Amino acid sequence: MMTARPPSARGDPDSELCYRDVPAAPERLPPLRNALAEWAGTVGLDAEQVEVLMLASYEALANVVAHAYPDGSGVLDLEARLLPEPTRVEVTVTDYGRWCPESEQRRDLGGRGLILLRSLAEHAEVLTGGEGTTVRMSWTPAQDPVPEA
Amino acid sequence: MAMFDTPTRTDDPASVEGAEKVSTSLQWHGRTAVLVITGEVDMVTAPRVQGKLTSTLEEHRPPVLVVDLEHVDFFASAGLSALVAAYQQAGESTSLRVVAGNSATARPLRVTALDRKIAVYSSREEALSADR
Repeated sequence: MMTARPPSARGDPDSELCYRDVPAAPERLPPLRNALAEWAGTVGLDAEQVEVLMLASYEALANVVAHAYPDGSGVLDLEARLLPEPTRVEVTVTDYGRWCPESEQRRDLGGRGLILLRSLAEHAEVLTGGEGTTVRMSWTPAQDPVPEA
Repeated sequence: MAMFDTPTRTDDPASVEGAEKVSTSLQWHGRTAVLVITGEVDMVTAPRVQGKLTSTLEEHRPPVLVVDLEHVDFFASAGLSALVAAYQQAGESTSLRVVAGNSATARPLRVTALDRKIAVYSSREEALSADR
């Protein structure tokens, strides 16, 4: 088994990838995006989609690291799921800080990262609540999932 | 594969990656400078790339600076920002040309429309032979 899953996961054990309470630090992100790419290749995304998902997800993660916790350290969650009806791969990146997408659009780096994220995801939304922000993105797999060996 | 074997990781993946994931090499073709970037350009490594771009432009003021991303396999918005900073620094005195032949580098340049501002080529040969 290559992927982590929460204890509550049911069904196909590789249909979920879940990292919680990861310190929001730049050096944490490359291993996360590599794990995500490896997982994405098993759920039916083709090579181009995997590349796109990896970059879009990285931008969401990088936004958390750069902007969510201006006053100090914090954590983030990364979750990826293969969902049915319609079949889609959904990636969510959640923080518990005060990241503000509207103000970030005026910033050079944040703005460009968001443009990338929104352009690369088939569907993307930013949900801001009292406890933080969730970026949710999804893609439709081009192929059938790779059967487990 | 055992490294991803536990549920809901909190302490890993290991943090050793990142800092050494990019390297740069400055080459010359006559008076044209070619800065070859190899590896992954992300928020960890982009400052190093940007530093090299800045120092190359400052120290050498080449008429043409080719930034060769042929061997870059991950290119995030931090890398785009480094290119934009170099483009602004280059101004009128240096023609900045970017080699982005693979999708990992060409796509982010295209979807952010930076390829309309910065000259992008699919190979180093093309960038070197382009007219000013």
